[in-house]
Amino acid sequence: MFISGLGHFNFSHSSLTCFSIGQGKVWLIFFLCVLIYSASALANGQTNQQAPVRLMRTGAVNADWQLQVNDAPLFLALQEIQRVSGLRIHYSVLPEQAVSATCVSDELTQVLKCLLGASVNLVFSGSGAASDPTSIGEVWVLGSSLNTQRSAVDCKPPGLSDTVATETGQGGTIDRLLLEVNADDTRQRADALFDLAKQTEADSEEVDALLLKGLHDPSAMVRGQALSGWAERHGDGALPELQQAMLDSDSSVRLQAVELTDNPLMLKNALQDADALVRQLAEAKLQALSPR
Amino acid sequence: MTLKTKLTLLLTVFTLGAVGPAAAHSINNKTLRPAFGASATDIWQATCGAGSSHMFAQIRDQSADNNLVSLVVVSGVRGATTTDLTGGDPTYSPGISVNAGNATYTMLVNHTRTGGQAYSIEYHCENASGGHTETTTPTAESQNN
Repeated sequence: MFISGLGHFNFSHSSLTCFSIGQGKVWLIFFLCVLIYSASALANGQTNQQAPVRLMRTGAVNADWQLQVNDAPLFLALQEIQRVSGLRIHYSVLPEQAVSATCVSDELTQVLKCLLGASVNLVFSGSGAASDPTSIGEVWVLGSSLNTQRSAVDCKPPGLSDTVATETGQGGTIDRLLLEVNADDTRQRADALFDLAKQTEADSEEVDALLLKGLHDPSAMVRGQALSGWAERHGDGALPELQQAMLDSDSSVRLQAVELTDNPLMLKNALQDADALVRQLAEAKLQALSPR
Repeated sequence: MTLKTKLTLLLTVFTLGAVGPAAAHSINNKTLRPAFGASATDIWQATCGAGSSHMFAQIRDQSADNNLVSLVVVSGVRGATTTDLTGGDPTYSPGISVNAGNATYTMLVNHTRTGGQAYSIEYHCENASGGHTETTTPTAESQNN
C-alpha cells in the first residue's frame, strides 16, 4: 500500500509487524501503526528542530563550552548563558539586531568575547579559574563599548532652542550665533560673541550692542571674549573699553586687556597689577615695544 | 692695498654682516587665560605659499611655573607637537616640522594645568632645502582663550 505525506517510513520494522496478522484486522492494525508512527515522528520532529540559542558543556578538550546562536537577539543568548552556566551577566544596552554565532572555548569568558566581539569591554568579579563560571561570579558588559547608537535627543546642547536655524552659509551662521549669545552655557555664549565679532555681514550696530552687553556679563570668560571682539572691531577706538577692563575684578579679563593693547601708559599701569601674570605680560610687551 | 680697495673691502664686510638668516614669523606675548580652565586652547592659522614643503614652528612658555605650554601644528592629515619644558626662560621648545606643502597650517596652543599662561610662537614656511618661503601672518586668532 502506498503511503504518502507521512515523511520517512521505516519499512524494515513497523510495516512488517503490522501486516503479519489476518487480513480482516490488517487495516485496523495498519492504521493504528500509522497513528503510532505519526505520533513518534511528530515528537522526533520537535526534538530535531534547531533551538535559536543553545549552550552546552561537553567536557571536550579546548571545547568545553559550546555556544550556538542562530539568528537570535543578543539578550536571548546572554539569558541562555546565565541559565546553563549560572554566571550572572549585567548589561545596560544591547544592539537590537539578531546575531548568529558559533563559539567554542574552554573558558566561558572567551565564549562571551566571541559572542560580543573582541573589542567589547567586560568587567569580571570573582576569583579562581576563568573556565569555572561559579568562580567568576558576575560579569558586566560596559554599554558604551557595545552599543554605538546614540539618541539625537541626548546630544542636544543645553540651553539651545529647538528653532536654531540650519547653518547654510553666512546667514545661517549669523542666525546661529545670534541665538547662541543668549545660551545658558557660558562657553557657548563666549564663543558666539567672539565669532560674531568677526562676521562682516552681520548688522554692525546689533553686534556692537551684543558685545557691549557681553562686557558686563557675569562670566569672566564671556567678558574677555566680548572685549576681544570689541577690540578687533574698533582697534584704537577700543581704548576706553580696554582701560575699563583693567579695573575688572577677574585677572582673566585684565590679562586679556593687556594682551590686546600696545598702549605704553596702560602697560605701565599694568606693572602694578595684583596678578603676577598680568605684570609679567605687561613687562614683556613693554620690552618688545621699547626701541633697541 | 689702496684706500679704494680698503673701502670696498670694508663695505663688502658690512654688507655681508647685515645679511643674517631670514627672520622667522612671530606671534608674541599671547595668553591662555585662567577663565577657560584646563581646556583653554588658542588657535592660529597661517598659510604657506607656493614652493613650500613644510612649516617649522616652536613655542616659548613665558611663565615660570609647572604649567607647561604645548604647540600642536596640524595641516590636513599631518601634525606634530612640541612642548617647552622650562617656562620663563628665553629658550624655545624643540622645533617641529609638518610636511603638508603649500597649505594652511593650524597652530593649537594648550597647557597642562588650569591657570593663565603667556607664550610666544615662532614659525615659518620652508622649501625642501630649508629655504624660507612665503608665509602669511595671522591677523587674529581663530580661537582666543
